[in-house]
Amino acid sequence: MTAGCGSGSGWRAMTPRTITAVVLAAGLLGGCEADLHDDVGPRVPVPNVAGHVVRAGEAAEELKVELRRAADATVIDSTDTDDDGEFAFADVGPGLWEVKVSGDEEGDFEALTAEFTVAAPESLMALGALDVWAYGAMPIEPEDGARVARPTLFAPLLLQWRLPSRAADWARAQVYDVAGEAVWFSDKRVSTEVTWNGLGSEGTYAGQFVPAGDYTWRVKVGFADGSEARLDRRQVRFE
Amino acid sequence: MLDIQLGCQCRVGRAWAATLFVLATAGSDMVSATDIWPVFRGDARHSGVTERDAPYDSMLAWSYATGDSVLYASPAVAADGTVYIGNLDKELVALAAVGMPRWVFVGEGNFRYSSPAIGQDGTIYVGGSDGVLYAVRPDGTRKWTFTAGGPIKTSPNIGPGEIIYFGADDGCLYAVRSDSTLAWSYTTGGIVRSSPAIGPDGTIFFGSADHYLYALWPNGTLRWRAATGGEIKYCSPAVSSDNVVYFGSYDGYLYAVTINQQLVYATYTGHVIRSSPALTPDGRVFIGSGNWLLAVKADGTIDWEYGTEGEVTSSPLYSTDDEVVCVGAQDGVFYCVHDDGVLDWTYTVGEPLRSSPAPGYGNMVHVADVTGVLWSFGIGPSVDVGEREIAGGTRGLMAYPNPSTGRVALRLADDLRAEERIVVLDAAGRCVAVLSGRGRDVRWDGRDRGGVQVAAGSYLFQRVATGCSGRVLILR
Repeated sequence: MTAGCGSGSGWRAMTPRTITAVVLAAGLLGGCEADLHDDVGPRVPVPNVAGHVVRAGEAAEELKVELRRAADATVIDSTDTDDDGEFAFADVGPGLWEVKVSGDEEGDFEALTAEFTVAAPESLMALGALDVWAYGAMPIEPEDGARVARPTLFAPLLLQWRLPSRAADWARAQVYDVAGEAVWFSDKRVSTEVTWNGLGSEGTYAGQFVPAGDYTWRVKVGFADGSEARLDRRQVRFE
Repeated sequence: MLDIQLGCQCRVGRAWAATLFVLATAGSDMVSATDIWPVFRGDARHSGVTERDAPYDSMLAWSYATGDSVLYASPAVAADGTVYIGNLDKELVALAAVGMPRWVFVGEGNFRYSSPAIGQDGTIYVGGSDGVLYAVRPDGTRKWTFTAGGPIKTSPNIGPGEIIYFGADDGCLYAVRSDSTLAWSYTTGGIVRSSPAIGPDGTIFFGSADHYLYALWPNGTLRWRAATGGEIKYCSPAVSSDNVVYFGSYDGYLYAVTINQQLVYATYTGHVIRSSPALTPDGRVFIGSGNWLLAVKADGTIDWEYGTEGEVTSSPLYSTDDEVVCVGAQDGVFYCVHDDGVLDWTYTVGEPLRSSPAPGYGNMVHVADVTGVLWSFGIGPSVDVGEREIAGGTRGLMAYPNPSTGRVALRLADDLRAEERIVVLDAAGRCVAVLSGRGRDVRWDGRDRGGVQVAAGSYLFQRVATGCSGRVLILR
């Protein structure tokens, strides 16, 4: 992302307002070293992916934004939103990417992600507004720290939540073990509850009944623009 | 008994063929005591099993374009081999075992999801997308209708007392008497597209998109329900004679649960299950999951997987006699696999198959593709009579199909001995081929002794030892 320039984080992630200034000033900044190999002078990272984050329509400042490879969620870069809620990343090459915005206030989603594709090396991408406000969405049952019987076919665990008041395309529940390994994902549908019989669907848990122990669960919500939001995690113990 | 020439419009592959004359036989020897495949999956328990022979190879008996689009609707077959199937054109079509249309009943909704069910008196029940359960007399006329609260995309099943059970998209399972009155209905939390199976004690089992498998007492009250991790849609449960219920779910698990709520196993297949299980007498299960036909042992472990190039949403048919399991796939291929997992034969239909195969007259198997063409494999009525008395007291050898484009099957009245031969003579009396075989079935590949396809024309078969003879017309 930052080839040719120093490792200062300001070069790696920029707000749209700084993009022009950065390009003009690039040759003047002492922090940059000239790339002498191609005889065209110092290279500067070119911000080519920009977006902005809102909270219920208002600019959301100082929120952490990560640039991740969509395939494996590897974090490639990160920045914070500026006073206008804007952010940008430079030198984002071709491929499938996602940005992840983490909420930091009560009533926010825990996180919001949006995928996008960069088609060509110098493509400019303007992402739509990412609304980190949860609009009332929250997990309901089981309560945080609840102790419940291990679920079975005939006594399944009921997971309940509240959907955001803005239209959601789908919601799904996800269960993880204490190490953060995925145990079970429900199917995606517009629903405020789902039952789980204790049989895993993910990774090493696929084909197995979940053993007793501590787990977390959360709900993921999908929207028509392709963005996905995560509600806060809850702890649950299966006894 | 008379031989009659029947004309029917048949379609092979995508091209309409010229009118094909099929040699058919009229007579009571075609009629058995019970219907061959009266409901979806063959019986009230939805076992998916037949004791009849399966086709020996991929020889197509006939195909018939019923109309537009058949999805999960599968054929029902009456005792005389009559095949019933519905389609998107709002038609319920009745075809004779030889592929000739008998009648077409037109409803107000389409029948491409619902398989017909044949009642004790021959009444045919089928659900329409208009939310109407149609009762149709065996002559193709309307008997009565019953209107449910949503489209019917399940296959009716018939329980004790001629109660007809079916599910609908309004989330209800309905129980309707044979006089069209409602006995009861039961509401679930999701649409019902899983067709009900009936256990030996009358318990009704079906799935719902609310993720549950329901067990209802015959009076319509809940006996129990079992939660899965996904919708149960299109997959219909099957009940063994020892009261174990087998069902798949969109969560990728195949479940086996006793009628008394004991989990026997939950086997993870890794793919959505839309297919319904077929149960063998020794406790094995065949089912489609993803692009695979699976064989699952009685302990729940996967015995073998047979891979296809398309999703197996069709439900397998198992022939206990031949130990062969047949199923369609979305890759447009019809598969028959020996129950040890070794491929027996395939036939490329060329269009996706979601419909489930049903056995027919003789060793025939019928299955419909999504364009609405019904494909029939095996040996049907004209050859099953074998060496028969024909006019003048001569015993005749019957060939099938007749006319044929090449391959011909003969079924004999008794086993052909190892040293016995059947000669094939052309119209000039020249011997073009000598056939041997074992058992009652003898095949001719339409080639002469040099391996060259014979020319179009009439050919005479003669069983040397008995003098029985018959003719076949070869078309090129």
